Amino acid sequence: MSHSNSEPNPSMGHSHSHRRGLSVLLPERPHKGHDQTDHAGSANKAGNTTNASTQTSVSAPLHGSHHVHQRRIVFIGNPNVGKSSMFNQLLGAKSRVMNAPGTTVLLERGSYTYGDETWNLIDTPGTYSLLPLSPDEEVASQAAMGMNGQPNPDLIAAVLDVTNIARSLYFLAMILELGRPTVVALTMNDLARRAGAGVDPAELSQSLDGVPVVEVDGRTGKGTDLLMETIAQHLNGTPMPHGLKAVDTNDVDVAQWVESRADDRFEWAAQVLEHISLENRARVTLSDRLDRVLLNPVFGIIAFLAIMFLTFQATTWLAGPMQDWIDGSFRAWCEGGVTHLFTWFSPTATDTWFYGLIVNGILDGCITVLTFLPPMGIMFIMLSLLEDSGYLARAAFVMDRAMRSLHLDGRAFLPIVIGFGCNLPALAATRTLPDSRQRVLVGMLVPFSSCTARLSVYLVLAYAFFRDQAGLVVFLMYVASVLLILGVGILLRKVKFRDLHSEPFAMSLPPYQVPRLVTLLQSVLIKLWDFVKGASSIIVTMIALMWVLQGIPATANAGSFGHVENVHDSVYGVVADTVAPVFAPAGFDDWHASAALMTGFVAKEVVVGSLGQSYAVDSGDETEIQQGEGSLGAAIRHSFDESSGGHGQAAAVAFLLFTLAYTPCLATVAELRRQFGGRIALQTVGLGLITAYILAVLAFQTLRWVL
Amino acid sequence: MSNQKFRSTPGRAPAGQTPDGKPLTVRDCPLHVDATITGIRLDPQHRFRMLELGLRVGTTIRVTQRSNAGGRVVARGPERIALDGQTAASILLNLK
Repeated sequence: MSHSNSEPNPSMGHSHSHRRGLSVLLPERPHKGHDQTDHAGSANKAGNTTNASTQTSVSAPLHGSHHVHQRRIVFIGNPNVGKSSMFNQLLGAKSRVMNAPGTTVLLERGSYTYGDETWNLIDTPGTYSLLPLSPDEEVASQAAMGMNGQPNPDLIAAVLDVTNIARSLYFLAMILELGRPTVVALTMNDLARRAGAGVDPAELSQSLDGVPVVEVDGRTGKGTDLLMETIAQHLNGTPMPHGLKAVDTNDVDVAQWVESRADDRFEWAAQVLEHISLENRARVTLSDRLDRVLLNPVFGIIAFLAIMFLTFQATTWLAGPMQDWIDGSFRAWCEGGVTHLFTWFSPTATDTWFYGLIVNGILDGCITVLTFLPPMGIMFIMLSLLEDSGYLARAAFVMDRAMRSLHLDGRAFLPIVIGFGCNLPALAATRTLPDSRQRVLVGMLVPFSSCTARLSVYLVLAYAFFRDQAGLVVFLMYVASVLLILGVGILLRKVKFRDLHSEPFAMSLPPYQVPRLVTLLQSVLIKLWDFVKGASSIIVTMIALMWVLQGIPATANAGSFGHVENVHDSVYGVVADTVAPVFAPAGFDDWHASAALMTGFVAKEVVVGSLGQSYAVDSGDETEIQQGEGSLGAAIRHSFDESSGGHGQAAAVAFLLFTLAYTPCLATVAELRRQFGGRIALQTVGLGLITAYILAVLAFQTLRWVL
Repeated sequence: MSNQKFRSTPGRAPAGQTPDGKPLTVRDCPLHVDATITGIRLDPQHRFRMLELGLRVGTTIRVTQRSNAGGRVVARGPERIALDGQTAASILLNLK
């Protein structure tokens, strides 16, 4: 089943003029950690009461001990019940993301202090059942049952959506039968009340024979204090309702247990429902009325495309001026400050390599990271709005058929579309996919979306080599990008994601609701800070390396360290010379091209600047079109004609395709590593390089017969 | 769409069939009409998941929305469940 749980903009023709330099290594944020065993609590399933027992605990008692026993509280619930919002309200910036043991499924966890105790809170992926149909559901199920390397929970917080009370009670029955102390957190009760189907927590608790029930609003945090208080009061055990039987999952086949007791659980749920007052269950709701429009066969697609367009525009058009301000005025202000500081020590301090290190390395790296905050922040805001409003689940439904060819969830459309603006927020958008395998697959495809940064390269070369057909060439690059995404997607499905199958789509739709802006902004700030912590080290370090390579003189008259006039005379130039022959089959085995591509590995915006620098062409304030038609274009034409044996246009196409397909930028690599781990990041970089090279060689070898 | 065509009357198709005699499914069920699930033609794993979502033989549902590519939204009490076209075509119904 598909589960729910969580255009090219030609106006952006100018490029950001980043300079590169040394940086210091910043502390890395651990990502590929595992959900370690910090204790091993267990539940005694004897009798009608679930008890927290230390029978298998490896920790000493709480008081007077060197080893503090950290209670483990696992939050579990169906998808789209507001569990993660509630979890973020509880922990805020203190939560950390870890891989579940041996998987790419992410678990969010954090420490919560209650009195003199510290609890370990675990948020699990949404699941409809303890009998999983996806890796994410499997991890949630194992977290609740304490299986496969995951410690036993001391208490389970079952998050139930009141608007789907019958199904929620079925799920609760399974959780209760695990025999762990269980507290119920009721979400969306305000929405249910508006629809005339609200549930009184006290009444429900009575129907559950005393199982504690707390109403919580995940968006505002209301009720979370009471929830934690209730958890504290029931860590030693909660009642087992009549009609349910505790089971030791170590002694049974879980699948057989879940399936054989399903009818009994539904009967039990029906009996519980009879005892609580529910009104007007089948009324036509506001959500139904909105769905008549937003899920309409024709207008639904139009609405979806309109929302995608708005999201795309927001991350490019809105972010652009902010990025320009950071890269221009803010950078100048910072540089001025640093220069002023240096001149305090000595009037000539700004001539030293150390000044170059600080300004062109550390500061440059920090500014680079900061320039990504506007598009990332806007993307997080848009995603949160779409998710919290309830629309994103509908988007998955609307686009399901279209994405089925790649065996992807309908929501996979969003990151791929956003990638045409900027790959970095597109990777952030993969979080909305409920299946971890799909997140990785889409994450590996996003770099093939032709972002606006690549556009600057397309424009220069298109106008340099194909002046009259430049627009067509640029358009064809975007067509090539779409084809590449489809082609690589099919390839990855057959090679790496063979176990990813199209599942029947059946998803419970959450009701529409108005997102709470304060809560939304809080979660966005947390995500941005996570991005800064995770991406800054790799970005700043690589920028530093580039500066060092460009600053070390490689020839006798090149200048001193940090003051190399001609980049070809630096170690960087030597590396570019060494790499250049690799591109001979693609027609551009010229050090200018390889140097530009190496710089482009850091950021595509600097490819044009790097070309200009290597040809010693000062383009001033010229646009890319003007540069392509001017002296820079002439210089590139001369180089490419030479290196390709007179087939400059074919070589240009090859260069363009290489630019399209290889690694978009360092920030993308850093985000890939942060989200999916170093191995996937390396595989994606490798895939991009290999695909780019093959495309470039094929294009040149084919087109040189006609161009 | 009127549900008259689907009523069990002499000389007409039974309540569990379309006018051309095929079994009535969620995909071709009229909107806003109560119907009872009589069968689910999916593999055991996914059939059980349907059950866990609340779609099981004997459950009363209403189709509330048609979407593209045959997709349907069904109401089960206050719950709304979205189904793709193929899945919708696999759930057999009898009109009430």
